[in-house]
Amino acid sequence: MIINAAFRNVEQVSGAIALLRQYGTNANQMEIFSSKPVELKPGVLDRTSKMSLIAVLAAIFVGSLVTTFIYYTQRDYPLVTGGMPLTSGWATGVVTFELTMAGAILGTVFMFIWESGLMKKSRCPAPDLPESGMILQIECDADVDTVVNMLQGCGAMDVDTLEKS
Amino acid sequence: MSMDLVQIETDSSRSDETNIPQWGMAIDLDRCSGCEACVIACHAENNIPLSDETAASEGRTNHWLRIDRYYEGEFPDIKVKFRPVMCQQCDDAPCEPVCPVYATYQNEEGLNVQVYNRCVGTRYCANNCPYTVRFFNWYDPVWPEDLNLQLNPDVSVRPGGVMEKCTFCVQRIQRGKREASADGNDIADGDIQPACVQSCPAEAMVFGDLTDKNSKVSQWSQSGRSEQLLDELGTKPRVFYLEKGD
Amino acid sequence: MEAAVEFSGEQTTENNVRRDLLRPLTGASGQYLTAVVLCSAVVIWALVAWGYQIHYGIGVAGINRPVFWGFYIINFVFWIGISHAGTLISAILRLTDAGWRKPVTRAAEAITVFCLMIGGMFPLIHLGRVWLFYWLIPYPNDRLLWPNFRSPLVWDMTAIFTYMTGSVLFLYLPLIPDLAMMAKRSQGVRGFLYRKLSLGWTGSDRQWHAMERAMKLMAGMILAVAVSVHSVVAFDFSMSVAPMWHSTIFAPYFVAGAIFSGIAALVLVMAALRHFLHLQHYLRPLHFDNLGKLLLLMSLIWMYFTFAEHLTVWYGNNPAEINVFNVREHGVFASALWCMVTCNFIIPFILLGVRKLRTITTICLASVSVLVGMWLERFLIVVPTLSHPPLASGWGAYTPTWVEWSITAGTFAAMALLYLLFVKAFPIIAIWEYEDDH
Repeated sequence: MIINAAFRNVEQVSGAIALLRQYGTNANQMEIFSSKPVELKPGVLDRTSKMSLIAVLAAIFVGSLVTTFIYYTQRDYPLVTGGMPLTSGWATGVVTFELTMAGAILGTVFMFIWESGLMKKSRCPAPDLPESGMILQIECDADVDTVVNMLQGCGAMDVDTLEKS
Repeated sequence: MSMDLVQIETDSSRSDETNIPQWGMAIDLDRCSGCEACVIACHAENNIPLSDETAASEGRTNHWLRIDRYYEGEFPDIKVKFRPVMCQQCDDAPCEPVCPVYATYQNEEGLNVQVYNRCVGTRYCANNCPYTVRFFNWYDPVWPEDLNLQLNPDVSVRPGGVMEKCTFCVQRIQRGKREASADGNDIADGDIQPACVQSCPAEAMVFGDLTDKNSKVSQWSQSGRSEQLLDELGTKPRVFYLEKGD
Repeated sequence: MEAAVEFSGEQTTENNVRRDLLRPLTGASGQYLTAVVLCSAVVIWALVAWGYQIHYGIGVAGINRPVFWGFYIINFVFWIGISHAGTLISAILRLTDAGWRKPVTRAAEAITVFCLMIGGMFPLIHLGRVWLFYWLIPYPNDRLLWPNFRSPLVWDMTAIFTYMTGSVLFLYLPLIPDLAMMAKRSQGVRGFLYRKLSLGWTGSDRQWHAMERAMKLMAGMILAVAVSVHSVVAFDFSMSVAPMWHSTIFAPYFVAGAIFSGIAALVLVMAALRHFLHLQHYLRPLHFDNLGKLLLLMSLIWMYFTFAEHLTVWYGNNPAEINVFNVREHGVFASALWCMVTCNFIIPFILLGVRKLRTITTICLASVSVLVGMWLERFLIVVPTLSHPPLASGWGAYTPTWVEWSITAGTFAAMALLYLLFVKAFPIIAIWEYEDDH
């Protein structure tokens, strides 16, 4: 079953989440939907993220790839240069920097799409976004009535239950 | 200074053992009369388009070789000095590293070569040339009727949108090397002469191999009167100007 | 954040906000259509001029020997400079979490994207053989040649590629929630496009988390990239041995100038949006006042750099450099130089420095003056140096032709046109960000 409970403010929804987690509901089974970001206190419903790590790794990967590319493409030119060598940290540093940053940016955006679940089919149908307030969606298979009661006790204005498709 | 230059060059990849000539030029300014025969010869040899008054007034004339005039004293008691200026074939040429497509680079004989086909026309090299001896083809070149029949077949005609400059008459260098190897001889000093050197009535210009200690250009370039143009920029030019030190 | 809330006075309800901010998306007034037609006409004229130049050769422009770079490179630096309005300012404001940024950021980020599109055209317009521009791109080719990575022009290309990619995404990410909201309110092709572009945004807390994290990270990165981009533009000049170009101060000098002109452009765009889209309630005097103070700060920094640069050259008295210095200070370029100092320093200093004078109108006047001054600054960097190379025999002059003027006018029209179209397609103030604050 999927339960959608509408709440008016952050305090109520935080209370409901705390209660449900005590009751044993997993954080992955809960999701808040809102038309603007909901600022929860740390610890209420944390979402782990590897975005910074992947951004750094993508930066290092693309940056070193590009530097290697520059080195190997320029190495094959048997050119005589007066002073400046064909590859040097100074001259290729700019290209290395720019593409390192490009790697970081693309890594971040990739992780944004990945972690937000955009462009992916979600398990539960998303409720229509309220213009104000928020909807707490809980995926639960047993004790639906208990959960609904708990939600109503925490100040949910409107609780819908629907079958998982 | 100039001695050091040759020494350094021969110590590095361009050594005597590999027998690769290092081309250079020396010009005795005390002999130059400013007659501009070299300019005409250069135009004829290298298929340089002619320019009319409009082009001249727009600053679009192309002369790979020009005569700079320096005036001393007050009119009428005036002294004029001439200095033929062409591409200085710098060893550490500022035009080379800035080209994004390697249209200009240093070859192993020390020539600063320009590959017309590679040029996309960013004109960065020309901005970075302190001697202002790089020329751009603002349009496709045209010659007056009949003159289009006298083009030198050894020299490519450059299309609009590409950079060009003095090559030290690279076509003559190639021909000289070809002929010498066909005869089984070494290239003797003076065998190869760019058009300007050949046409100078005052014999103010010499051209040759700087690694050959007995060549005229080596001896001239190492004379006490020798200097390089704007050598404070560290471009290591291959053209030496001889002038009495006064 | 506090200030913004305090300042807003009466609370606008969310429905009013959406009504106000979505209203510009529908219908089109006669004024709007006239503006679109006029701008399109100028853009088409500029394209004709460019076609003429490609067909007859780049000689139809006024550039010559020794002034091999002219209006095209001046405009390139000018537009890339203005592009810093956006991303840089909005990134700084995001990182410092300045609440008053919220109605400003999207307008600024859009400036960045459009300015980069326009500025990025100029290196192509200026090429002698533009049809071969792709030879700068590294790909395996039948010429068996890779590009020269030591050339500042290749740096330019990679820098603009990264900045363009970054700033488009920086504009796009915070647009997604608004796109999802608009998808629900629109039908037909428009609704379809909004839906596709919103990537299936549902407004879940995971998505909001990812958005917040991504925007924080991107803000930091884009800041570094923006600084590097204008440094690279400066390197195009300072890597050369040309007098008064070969200067270590150029990179920070250019970055400061870019932010300076960027703020000025942002002020003018915001004033136009405020006036024509009736957003007085959203773009408040506070925003203009804050940007006016930033503009004043940048004006002082610009003057400091300019003074340091000129003093160093003057004192150094290097023959080649002092020639260029002299023509700038009391030669043919003197009027441009003193006009630049007036526009970039004296006028903004008076209009913005005296608190009583600082109103929306005077901030706009100062911004116009700064844009004129910064264009002149780029002119004074490019032309006097090139027209006075170290050997006096090579000295020359530069007069732009109708082709250069047309293409320059066309880019201003293109900027206006792109903005006009953008405002019709997307809300210019981030609705969710704005609502989040009120």
